[in-house]
Amino acid sequence: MKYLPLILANIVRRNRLRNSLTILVVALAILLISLLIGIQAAFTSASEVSDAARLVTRNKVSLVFPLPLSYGAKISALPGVQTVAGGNWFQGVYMRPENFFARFAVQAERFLAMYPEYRMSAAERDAFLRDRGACAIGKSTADRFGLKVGDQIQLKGDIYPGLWDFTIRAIYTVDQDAYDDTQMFFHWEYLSERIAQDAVGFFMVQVRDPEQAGDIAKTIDALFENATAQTRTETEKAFSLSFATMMGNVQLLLMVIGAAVFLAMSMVAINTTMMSAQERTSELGIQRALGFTAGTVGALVLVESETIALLGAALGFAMTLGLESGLKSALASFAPTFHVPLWAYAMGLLIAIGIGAVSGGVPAVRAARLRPVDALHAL
Amino acid sequence: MAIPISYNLRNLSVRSASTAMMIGGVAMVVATFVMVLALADGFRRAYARTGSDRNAIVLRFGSTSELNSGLSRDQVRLVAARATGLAELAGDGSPLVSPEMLVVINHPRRDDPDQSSNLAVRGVSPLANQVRANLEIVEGRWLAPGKGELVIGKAAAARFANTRLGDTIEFAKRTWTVAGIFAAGGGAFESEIFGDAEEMLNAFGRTGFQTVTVRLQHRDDFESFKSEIAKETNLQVDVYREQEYYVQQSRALRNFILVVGVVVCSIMSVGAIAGALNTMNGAVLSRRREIGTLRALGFSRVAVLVSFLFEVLVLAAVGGVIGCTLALSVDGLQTGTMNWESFSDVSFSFHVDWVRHFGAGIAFALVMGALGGFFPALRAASANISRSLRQY
Repeated sequence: MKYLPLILANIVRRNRLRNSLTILVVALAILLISLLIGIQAAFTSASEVSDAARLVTRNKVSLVFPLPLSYGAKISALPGVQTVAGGNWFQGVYMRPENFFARFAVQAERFLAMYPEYRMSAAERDAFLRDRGACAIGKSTADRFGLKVGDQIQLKGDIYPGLWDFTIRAIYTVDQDAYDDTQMFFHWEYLSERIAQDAVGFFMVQVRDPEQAGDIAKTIDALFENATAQTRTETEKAFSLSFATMMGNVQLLLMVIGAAVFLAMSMVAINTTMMSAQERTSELGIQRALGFTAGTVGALVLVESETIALLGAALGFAMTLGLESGLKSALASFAPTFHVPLWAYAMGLLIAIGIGAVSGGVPAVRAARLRPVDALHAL
Repeated sequence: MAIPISYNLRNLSVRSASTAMMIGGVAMVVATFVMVLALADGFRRAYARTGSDRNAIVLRFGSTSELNSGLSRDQVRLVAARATGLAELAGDGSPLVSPEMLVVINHPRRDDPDQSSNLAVRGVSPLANQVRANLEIVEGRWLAPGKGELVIGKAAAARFANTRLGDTIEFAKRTWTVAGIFAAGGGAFESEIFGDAEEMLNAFGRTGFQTVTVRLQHRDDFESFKSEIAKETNLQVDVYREQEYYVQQSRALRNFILVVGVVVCSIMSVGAIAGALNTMNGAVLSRRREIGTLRALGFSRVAVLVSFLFEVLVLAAVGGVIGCTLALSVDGLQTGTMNWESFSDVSFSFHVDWVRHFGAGIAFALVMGALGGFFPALRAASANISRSLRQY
């Protein structure tokens, strides 16, 4: 502790430009890695927060094929099934194709009952359920387009052609970043009436006992084994994961970029620490001559580089926090659940300590091995 | 008079560790930059090669993708009638018009049969291999209509199970036999499987098609075809050049790659510029007396400035070349993802363009070097001679 003023003086007084640049570089590395982790996590977050008591039943061929509405009642009648809600992927375009957010037609009352994570006031909920032309949107989407309860929005249909008008009756919030609060839900009946079809894209099935989810999934599929449209039922988690795996090598790619970032930034940081230690050779010699042990001199160099790296990490965390919400809205169409998970910060801390150790290690050993007589010779 | 270049080069080798670190930093940034460009470009190329600019594709008015388009048999007939005289003719005199149906099936993957991905299945006219001029059978033969046969794109055959010649696949409640494997110039069709449209409509219980693709006699016939279609006011369709249409379909994912790539590379480049600044500042500081000597020998301030700038640009250029070389390792690497527009798996390969990407990569390196090196060089040039020469 008594060396603290010495270390601080070295960092603050000496070569301020260089030290601030190094801190900046470490901070940028931490920022980039946190953001990459955040994007990667967004692809899998839906599966992590999925409810083990919820199953998804869809047409066995693929999601683009519908199921008859009557399947819903048959599934509800199975023992162990609590609620069944049918729904369709609506897609559509809101003003411009870039304004993408997920839009679903759902059997609203039952759907909301099995999704308590979408929170809305009782008044808004009732208003939404009463009005057939109503929709509920997530807070992120409301903020993104400046929409409020009572506003009208119009979608241009693509899967279901025509212009579709909705009144926003509810804006829901979520209490966990991993839940998607960009989606829009409206009444399935509104859709089916207009297209005069009873086709359902998927059924969400809530079971009473999550332990039985697997068995019930098998029972559902067996029920329609010989029907016109066969089904495939899987847990909500498996369903979301299958989407993530369809994205292919995106995760590998992000990891490669992360590694490149780490390597590039460490090189820059190591370079500067080495330069600063080298320039101080004679000074380190004086310290040795004054009676500092080899260990102390080496440790001082190491602590200094660790301090710089940790200051960098702190700055990096601050930048991550500052940029996170801006990036969340920039990525709203692609990765609606983008957020930087807590473990990304832990990872950033480890990386900073690693950069500090590597960049301080070599100069520290060199400083410790220094013979005072050689070091002073250079003076 | 200019300071000899050998002075800079020798300096670089004296400070080898520091030099290597700066080169390494620039190389990593450039490698990432070029890889992102190669990825986005490879994806775009897959789609640009999918269509031909001599083909026109007709979709339902307002549909944003083939999947949500739909055309009745009457609409298809009207489109075909309007194409008379403009469409290229097959050997037997029939016009090259392919009404098509596109669906997506969930099919087990080859690498892990427990996992399945979305595979695009296209019902086509038996003439579709002439409508798509770059379609080339690499194994087996083209499908015979009415016999439950499929031809499979080679990228789909590589990524999905049961897709070898002679294999049978079950979907839509019947069994299909693989009659051939085709290549399509590296385009997205290679990620699809083709079958006879009439058979597929039947099997999937559909009554209408989704799109019609017409091979025109000449690429300039497109405008005439479009105005012919416009005369049919009840038709309610959109007409696009096939090539432009597919490039459009790749836009969302390509933009995502570019947005993420640009954010990552610009943040990284700030780091690399800071690194260059540090390295060159260090170089200038430790060579104070040398600089003073050079100035005392009569070299001008401009000569010193140019010399230091030259030194940092050489470093940056070397880093840039190494970065480009590193990025070259992914050239041609096959990968695949789900394109949101088509909701199905599409294969594509990283494509490193020697001229454009390497040019951009090295230019990027030089800009980073110049930004990082300019101020230290200026500092060297403006140093006071007598103070520099004094012992410190």
